[in-house]
Amino acid sequence: MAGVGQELLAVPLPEMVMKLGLGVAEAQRALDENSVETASMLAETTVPLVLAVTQTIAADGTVSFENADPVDVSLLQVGLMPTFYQFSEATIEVTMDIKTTSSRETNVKVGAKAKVGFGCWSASVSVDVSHNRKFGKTVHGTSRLVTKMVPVPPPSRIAPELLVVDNRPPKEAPDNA
Amino acid sequence: MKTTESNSSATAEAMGAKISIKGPPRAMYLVVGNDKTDVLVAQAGGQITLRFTADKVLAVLTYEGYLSLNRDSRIFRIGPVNLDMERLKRFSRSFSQTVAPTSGTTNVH
Repeated sequence: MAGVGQELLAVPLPEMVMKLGLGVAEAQRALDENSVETASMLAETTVPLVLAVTQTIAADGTVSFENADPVDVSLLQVGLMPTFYQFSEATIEVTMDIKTTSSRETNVKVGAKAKVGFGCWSASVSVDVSHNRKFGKTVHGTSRLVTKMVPVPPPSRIAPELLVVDNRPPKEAPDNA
Repeated sequence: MKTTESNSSATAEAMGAKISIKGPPRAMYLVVGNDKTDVLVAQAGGQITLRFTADKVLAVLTYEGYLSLNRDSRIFRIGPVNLDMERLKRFSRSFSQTVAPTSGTTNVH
């Protein structure tokens, strides 16, 4: 009869770990793909933004506002980023409940014979005992897989860096003379 | 975090497994669907924060709402997004300097 230790060894733990690892890798790839596709859509979607408002206070005290021409910018440019997730933890819990039972069955057959005649008699008793031992085993197992995901910063090169080249002539110094 | 019971996986159903997912309570998502995307978002209990086109919106959804829209065949794509405030500040600063009015005026932030 296999012992409890043997039963635990029979749990396909390496296979479970391998499948969990592959499952996590596959899920991570799907998550990354989704985030990259979201980034692509954010880059393709543009919105007109008014980036400067000029407030003019006239000599008579009246105030007027003038908007700069709207500029089409992508959502990625203005800082709307896809959320990237990463698996930070994976746990496998295996719980086994092993119950072994044994029972002993004893059968006894008793037979008796007797003969009576003229002046003599004879008798015989036969006993037949048989033992039968039965073993039973019940195994209940449950497994629990837990994975934990956390948001992580996007890859540094997912969004374009904004470079400003200002070719305007430098401002002249105010004339104090 | 709120736990959502999900049993949509065929493997999970075959094995009688229960899948519980804990997600953030509310988050912002880019939702791309058909021309009734805003209606679908509203049905999922979400709020539209920005509408780009009829089929593309930025919405705040609960995790359950996100899962229901993710399963909806009328939604082409849905992905979580977040606003990088640091990047927005750098962008605004940079652009406001570029399109800044001419001399004699003052930038007020």
